[in-house]
Amino acid sequence: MSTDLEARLTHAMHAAHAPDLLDVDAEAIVTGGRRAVRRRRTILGSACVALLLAIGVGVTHWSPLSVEDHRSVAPAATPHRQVVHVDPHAFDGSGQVGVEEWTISPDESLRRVTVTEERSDGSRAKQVLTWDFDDVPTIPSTDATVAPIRAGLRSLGAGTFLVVTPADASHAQLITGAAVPPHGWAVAGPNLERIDGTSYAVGLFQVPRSEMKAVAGFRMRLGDRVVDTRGTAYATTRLPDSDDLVWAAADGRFGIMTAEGSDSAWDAAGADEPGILGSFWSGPRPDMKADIPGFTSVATFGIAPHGATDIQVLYPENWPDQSMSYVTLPGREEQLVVARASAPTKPGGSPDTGAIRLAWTDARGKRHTAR
Amino acid sequence: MRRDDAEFTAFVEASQASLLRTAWLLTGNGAAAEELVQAALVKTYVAWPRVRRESATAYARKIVVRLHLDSTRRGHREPLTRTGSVPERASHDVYSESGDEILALLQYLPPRQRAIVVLRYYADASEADTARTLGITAGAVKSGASRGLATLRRLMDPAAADADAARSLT
Repeated sequence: MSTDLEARLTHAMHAAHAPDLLDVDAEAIVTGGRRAVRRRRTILGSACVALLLAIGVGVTHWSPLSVEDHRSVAPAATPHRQVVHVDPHAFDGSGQVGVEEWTISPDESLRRVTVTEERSDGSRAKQVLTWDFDDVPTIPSTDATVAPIRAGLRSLGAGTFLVVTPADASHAQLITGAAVPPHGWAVAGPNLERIDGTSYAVGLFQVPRSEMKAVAGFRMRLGDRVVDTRGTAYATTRLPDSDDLVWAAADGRFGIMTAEGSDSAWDAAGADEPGILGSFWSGPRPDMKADIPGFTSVATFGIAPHGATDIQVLYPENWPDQSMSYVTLPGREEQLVVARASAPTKPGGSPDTGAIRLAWTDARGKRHTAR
Repeated sequence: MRRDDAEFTAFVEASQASLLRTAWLLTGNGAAAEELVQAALVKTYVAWPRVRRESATAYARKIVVRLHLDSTRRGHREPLTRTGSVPERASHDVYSESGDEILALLQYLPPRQRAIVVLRYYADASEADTARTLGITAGAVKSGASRGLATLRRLMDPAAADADAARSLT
């Protein structure tokens, strides 16, 4: 019986109709590989510098970083791109997808792009995307032709993005796919030209889910906004000292897309009081003290009230690698605070997250601390 | 294009079908399989100067398997308030398009057992090679394969499996 089963398994594994898997773009892999080699060299160099610094100043643990500290080093929030998630269920992927029409209302409050799929059976599927585009100068209405997508949209489980950017060098790379991180596919949309001659372009490109954070992190700047097809706005930031993307939605949801491609989402809509929302731990990281047995990397989320200054996530002093970031919740005044540290694990493996506190100073100068 | 890059590109084109199928059998998910293979190939590219050409596919497959197992081990989470949906999440039926029940049942195997079954019965790897790929002993491969097959048998025909078990006890 075992032999029959083994034979059946072998046959099924070789003969089964696998889903329509996309071919790997070898050229893109090479591009991504070169980038990984460069990044590794940079990380090694940075690690040497950090080690020399640590030896030089005798650092044994870090004090909590304040928002002001972070602001002083954070890149300016100068969004000039809009990224819209195209609903993957809108198209069946059998045909070519492109941008059909781009319009702006007379008062410039509404920007609309019609994305169309021309299917192999001749039918057409349309999706109209609208969003507020107040960070980008006016673009006149124009008609455009449907542009073919290079690799097709067969794998609609991956993220599909519509991107509008100024037609500068980075945009040109984006549209050709050269700058799309290793596994992306790009399609050139119509070029949109303003009366003053400034060019913009619309592009559609598709990336696997694990690359969504790379798209956001690599292509969007801190503070850029993402709007989904239902009009929900998202703000993004990075989990400190990592490539993980933290996002917060206008409806109170927030979440993390880790560099490894896993997602977690939570809802802070019911969190009326400022304080710690909770913590997330995901195992040791090779670049931090969490690599030492007995330490675990912990990420902590909190809500700081409107007008709060000198925000700090207070970890126990023996938790090294402390760092912090924040993002203003879309449509709200509060800030989603994101911090991380390496926590000594207790017997059983869980860090003592109950000891974490959020501290801030209100508009009257009074200091607050909350769980 | 550098000579190494041309060689690597040829390797990707020659090996990707087999790697994709391995990843799909491990994950049961087309999109995840694509991502797994792409990530593994990027890592293979980084190591390419050190990779022996005759065993490059085995090297890349080893990365595919280890990345998959790493991803299944990662992630202890503390729920904050309640879980919502992420901005965009696709759903996939595991092995939904395979048309074969036995593949659908693979998902019920623990990740390492599934990896052993895939390496032994799809990649035709020996017990020793499977052990090297997974970083375990040949004995663990043997017992993992045996348990995996027993689980599949039980899932396919619970009554027969129970009868077999009863016979083996007497």
